[in-house]
Amino acid sequence: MLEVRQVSQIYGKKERRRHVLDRLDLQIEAGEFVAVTGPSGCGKTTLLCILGALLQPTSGEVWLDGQLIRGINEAELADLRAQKIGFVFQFPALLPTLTLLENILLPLTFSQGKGRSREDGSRAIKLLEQVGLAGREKDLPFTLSGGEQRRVAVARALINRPQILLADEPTGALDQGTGERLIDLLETLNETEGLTLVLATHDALVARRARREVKL
Amino acid sequence: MILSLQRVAWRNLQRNKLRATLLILSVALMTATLFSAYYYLHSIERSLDAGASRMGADLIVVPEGLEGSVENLLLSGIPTEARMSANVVEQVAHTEGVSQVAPQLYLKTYSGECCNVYGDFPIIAVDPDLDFTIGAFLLEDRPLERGQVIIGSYIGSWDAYGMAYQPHWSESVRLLGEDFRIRHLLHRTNLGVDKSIFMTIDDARRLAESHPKVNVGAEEISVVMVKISPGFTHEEVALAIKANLAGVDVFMGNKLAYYVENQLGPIKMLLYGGAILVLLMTVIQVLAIFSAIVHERRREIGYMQAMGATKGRIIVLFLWEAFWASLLGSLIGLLAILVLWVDMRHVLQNLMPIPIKFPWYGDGIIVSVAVIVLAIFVTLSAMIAPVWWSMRRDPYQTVRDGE
Repeated sequence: MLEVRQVSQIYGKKERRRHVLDRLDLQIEAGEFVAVTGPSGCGKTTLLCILGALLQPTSGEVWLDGQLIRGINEAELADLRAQKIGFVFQFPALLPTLTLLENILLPLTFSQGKGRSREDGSRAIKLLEQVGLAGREKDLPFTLSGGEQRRVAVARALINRPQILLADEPTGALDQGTGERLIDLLETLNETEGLTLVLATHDALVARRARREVKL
Repeated sequence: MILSLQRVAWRNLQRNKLRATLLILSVALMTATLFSAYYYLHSIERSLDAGASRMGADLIVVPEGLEGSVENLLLSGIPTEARMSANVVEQVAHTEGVSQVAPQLYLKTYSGECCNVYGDFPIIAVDPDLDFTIGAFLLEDRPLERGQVIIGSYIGSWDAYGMAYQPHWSESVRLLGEDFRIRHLLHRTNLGVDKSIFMTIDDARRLAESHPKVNVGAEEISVVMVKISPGFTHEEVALAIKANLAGVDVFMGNKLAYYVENQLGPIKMLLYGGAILVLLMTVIQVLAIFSAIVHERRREIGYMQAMGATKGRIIVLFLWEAFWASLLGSLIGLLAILVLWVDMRHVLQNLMPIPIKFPWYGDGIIVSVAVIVLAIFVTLSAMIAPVWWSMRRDPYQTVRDGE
């Protein structure tokens, strides 16, 4: 489903050049739960961004569903991200003046111009239920804890029915209990909905929950 | 459930209320300044047009030998004792190329008090049926009748300016032993007119008959204001009048307009210069505010791209935010300045060093719409640069910013 061939990423120029990824090969099948681990600065986030078409690698190829992610225009890239990829970042980045429901619908607004159908609304409410925040559609983000905000971010990442969910340090800055509940949620989504899950973490406990660990 | 970009932008505007308020106030200030500058100058231009059809009649017929004092008569209001026969009016009226005539008679200079103002005030008589001069500068269109006078703005003073619009306002002045009710005030002109008292020519003749010292003949007038018909030049008609009438001189009557226009030049430049400066300052302010907004949200921009937003859609989102701010700001600015103009128009007319004739409401609406469009355009233009700048980078870089 997702294939990385000889991918290298270099930051900086001349004597400041820094190899973050060096001729990496990686293959991820549909429905897999993969944890990308390694120390800070090893390139976990960089790899996730390359997989999510947010960053073009210095060299190498990335194939998603048989499509080479290189040389396609900005609109096609945006479409690819909207249709096939869901992101959960370390910071949930919910818009503070939008309700939880509106925050979840936001990717539809960005990808289609507006999130409008009754179906979209129902799906957003269902996702909110799925992440354990039923009945809080009209709440504003500031009323939520950090863990709850992270769960809303997961729901937001799933609204477009992506094939693959990329999560960058999803448990970072969360206490252990909250972090575990979030991983439970992601694991459930992976198992019940067949969602391909790629998770970057430096937490060994979290990595152990994945079916496969890729060490950088 | 509709979550449009417009709605997201509207909510975004509420994220930092202080900054949004400052942004809206900047636009409001710009709008108010632009509207005021244009409206004020437009008012003055209308006033100049009126002035040109007032004392700046196309031609002025005066008794022969008055050359040196005709400008004084027109501009400073210093009256002349020279007079000519009233028959001149009819003869001038019948001259080819003349469309309108309005005789004026200088009666005498009244020294005393009027409306709590003391001074020497020339009394000038006009024929209410023929006159096309005072009407242009009347604050309100009320006909001048027997036993009534119209006074210049200086005589009216501050009190009268404020009170003249009240229905119960009533003031009179005693001239040559007779009480005259003050019918109304003239706009301020900064000319001799401001210190003049105008009455009907019938009243003036009646007063002259009963006061031999006034020394005005029964059938005498001082000047004849002339408007020419379309298709004729000033020179043609002046020559025709001179050819038909002996003992008169004819002068071009547009000197008043030139005079006021010359006075206006620097004021116009200052106003337009000020408006341009305010416009530039607002652009800089809006740029600074939007740069801060975009900088603060740069990581959010990366997240939006990760969610599938194209650069174009993100720019549109920010543009909507700028649109709401500018629409709100321009409406607030306009409302405030309109209230000020409407509520304070009489005071403003008196404060201004030059005459003002406000445009009709339709003009005001057109100017308002134009100013709103300009304010929105300026704000949107100022927003594009910082957003575009932040979008030049890879989404990855913006996502990692601030981590």
